[in-house]
Amino acid sequence: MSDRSNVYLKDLATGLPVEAVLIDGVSIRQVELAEVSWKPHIHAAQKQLVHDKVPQELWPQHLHWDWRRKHKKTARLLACRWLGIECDQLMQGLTLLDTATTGRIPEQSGKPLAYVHYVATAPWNSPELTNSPKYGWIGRVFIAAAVSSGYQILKVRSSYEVQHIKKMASKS
Amino acid sequence: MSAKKTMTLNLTDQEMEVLEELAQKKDISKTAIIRQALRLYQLIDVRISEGEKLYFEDSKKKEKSALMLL
Repeated sequence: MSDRSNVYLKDLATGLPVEAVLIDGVSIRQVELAEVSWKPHIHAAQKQLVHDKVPQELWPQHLHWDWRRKHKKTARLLACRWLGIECDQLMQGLTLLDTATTGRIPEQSGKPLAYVHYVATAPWNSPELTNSPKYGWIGRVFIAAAVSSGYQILKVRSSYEVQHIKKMASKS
Repeated sequence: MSAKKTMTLNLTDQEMEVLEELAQKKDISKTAIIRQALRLYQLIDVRISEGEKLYFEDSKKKEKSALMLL
């Protein structure tokens, strides 16, 4: 069962919003199609990183994520919600939320929250992988969707955050 | 979210009291408490069925006790 609702992404070439569809309850078939469209770009990015001699620990973490395996392992759990954004008939981003967790900071202690286990944009939208990303606002649409569901985001573990922390650590 | 179905839930006075206490303590509805309980129960049941264990740890006594599900 999945729900579809209209959302907007930002076309980064024109700066204008474009209509997209937020899918709440992404199916295994949709994940498979996303991987098929993402893989050639990911392989090309990996080749480039090897060519540029970038150490593997600095590669974007989501390059090796196996979305199919993650979906098969979690899809039937009520606690796990799969969200996706479609635009141009392609999956522009995927995220896996865990809604069985509760807040830990004192003012939200014990209250339900949506923990973002995984979030990634399609490789053609990732500034880490291309100099001209196509669409923006992927992450904010996912976060807004989680928040509007009545959950509170306490912690986000994304490839961006991991890379950002590594960069900050290397500077200090 | 997907379409919802309605059911009648028969609870004892004590069960209802606990449900109301939890709802008040966490500042969420009784329905939200039941939903959260179902999500957690399924998650724990699946992981224990797969061979994992769930422990409570007393940090002062350094004792661990495994939670068993019926």
